Amino acid sequence: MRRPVIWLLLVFIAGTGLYYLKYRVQMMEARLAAIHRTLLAEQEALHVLAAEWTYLNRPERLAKLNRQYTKLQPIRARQMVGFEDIPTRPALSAVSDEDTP
Amino acid sequence: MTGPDRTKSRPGGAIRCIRETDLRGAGRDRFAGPAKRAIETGRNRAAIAAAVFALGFLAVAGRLVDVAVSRAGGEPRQLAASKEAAAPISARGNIVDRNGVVLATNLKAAALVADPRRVINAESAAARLASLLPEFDQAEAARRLASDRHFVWLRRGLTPRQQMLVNRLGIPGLYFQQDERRVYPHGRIASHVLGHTGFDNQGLGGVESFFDRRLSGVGGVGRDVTLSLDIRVQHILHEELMTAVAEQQAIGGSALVMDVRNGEILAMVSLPDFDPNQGAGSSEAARFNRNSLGVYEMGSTFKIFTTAMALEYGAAKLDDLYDVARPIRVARHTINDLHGSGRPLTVSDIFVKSSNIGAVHLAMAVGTAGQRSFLGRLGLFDKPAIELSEIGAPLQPAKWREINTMTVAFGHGVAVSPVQHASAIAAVANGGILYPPTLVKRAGNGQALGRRVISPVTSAKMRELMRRVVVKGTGRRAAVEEFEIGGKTGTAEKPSKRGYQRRKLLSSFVGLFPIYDPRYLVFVLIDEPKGVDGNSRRATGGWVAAPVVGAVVRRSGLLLGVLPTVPVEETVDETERPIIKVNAGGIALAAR
Repeated sequence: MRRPVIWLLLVFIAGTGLYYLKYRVQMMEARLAAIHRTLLAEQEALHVLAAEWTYLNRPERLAKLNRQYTKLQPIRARQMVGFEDIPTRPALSAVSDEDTP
Repeated sequence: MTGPDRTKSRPGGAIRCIRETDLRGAGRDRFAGPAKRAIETGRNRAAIAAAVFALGFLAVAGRLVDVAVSRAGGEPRQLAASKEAAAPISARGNIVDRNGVVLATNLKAAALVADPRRVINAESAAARLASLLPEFDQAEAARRLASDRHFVWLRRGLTPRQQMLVNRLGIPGLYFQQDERRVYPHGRIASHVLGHTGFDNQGLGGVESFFDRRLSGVGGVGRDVTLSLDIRVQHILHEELMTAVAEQQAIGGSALVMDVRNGEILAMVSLPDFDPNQGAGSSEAARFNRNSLGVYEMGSTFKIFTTAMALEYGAAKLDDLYDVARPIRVARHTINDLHGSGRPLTVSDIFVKSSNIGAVHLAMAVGTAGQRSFLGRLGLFDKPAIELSEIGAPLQPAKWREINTMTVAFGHGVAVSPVQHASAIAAVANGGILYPPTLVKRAGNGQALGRRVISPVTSAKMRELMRRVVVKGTGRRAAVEEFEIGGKTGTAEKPSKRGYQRRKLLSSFVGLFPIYDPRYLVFVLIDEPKGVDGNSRRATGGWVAAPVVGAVVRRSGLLLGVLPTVPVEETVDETERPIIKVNAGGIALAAR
């Protein structure tokens, strides 16, 4: 008499558990698909933005904007020096020596 | 620890023993003979079946653990995970420059299609569409909409704005289909290198065509192509050449910047050009790539090869004197100099002053066979293996006579494309290694691809000579303050059906910098310049092409990572300043 009851109970518990599990999995799968869709949309947007970024950064356009809004000049080669060409700060004693003739 | 004690301390074992014997005893009593054997067999079978099932369940359990535990960490790749991902973002791969700047990419676009049987009034629909879409063939559209088919194309590659406007018209029977459009954000700057694509995004021309299979890929997903181009240098070269061609009212021009150490092309411009975004609509002439498809008789820049050849074969030394006073008459032709010299010239001066007569003497000192094999070794008789669909085959005389040897000495009679011309000159200047020209960024430094064509000693002498051309020779207008440029001018008369034309020139300059340890080659060619200030005598390479090279070097030198030369402290009298120590080149060679 007691045995069938236990079995029935077990079946009920397992069934309910399985139902909830499956339901949860379905919900999560739907969420996953939604996230994938967003990801794809974002990737697409990134792709478009990358193309637009390149388009807006065309050298000729930058040059035009520069002429229009700033007074920047191209770097002259003479403005570049190697690291070894930068003079080191003279020692303090040396400076004072020169300062006092 | 002690054996006998342990066995005694397991009471369960003893009890089980007793029960088993009991059962067997009982069985023996109840069954005997064949019945007993049958039961034994049944038991054994049950046991085997149980074992098999147990194994099966064990396998299932193991697989469960495997799936649930071991592999839980591996998220499926998001592109492969969902059904929507079956259509990738962009079917055709991107083309990017050496720094990853996008030169060609695919964008989603809409295609306008229609089901004519649902269209109520074809005429008015076509008219309303024509009012929105530029270059829309109204008559053709009306004809298509009036047909009794189920599906017709109306327009591909609609921009999002156009799509919105068409949608707003609310014409029944019109539909949109997802489509892709090839976009070149930089417009016409690199048109000939990139090429363009057709209606189905198939590559037509340029890199698009050469790498069509790689870009379109297998299974719909293409791979990217990284070019050797630097779009900043490309822009500078394009701008400078445009200016020069416009100023000279020339019919065209070509220019390129090449890394002499591995043959990579950093910039390549051919004018007139086209907008690859509207590739199909451009003219044949605009799509013609002068750098790779065009072959030209280059003129005096060929003297680089003639002089290098004479030095390499030991046919002449730098200070050997040649009489260049008298024109050379051969067959019905007379070979003369642009700026005649009354006195004998050294080999060095022949090069610096660009004497045709002197070059002929040098070529004759080597001979026809030597000249042919030398030019062949520099790859001037083969099609260059560059990654473009448009490659022109060089032209050479069908039969080399003495007259051919003479004219080829100063660059007439052999026509080569600027690309192969540039790589041959790079080889003469870089220490003697010929690298195949390429538009694709080399994976390594590309040194393994090189082939020695002349000795380092000859190369050092040639660098010295090319520097002199810019310091005191025909190429003075290429000189810039910041970088030491060396090079050679070239002015060729264009051939017509009836001999060469005096007034139609191909004026070019090839420059290398920094000349004593060359990194980059800049080649500029202007087709039919009218001359500086409209003076046709100032239409030579030294007048019209050399300044362009100088300007390109000045603007792009730093971008290319070349340090400017150390400023000279005391400015000695410019004319008397010793040009350079010859050993400067020698030291660089030792380091190589």
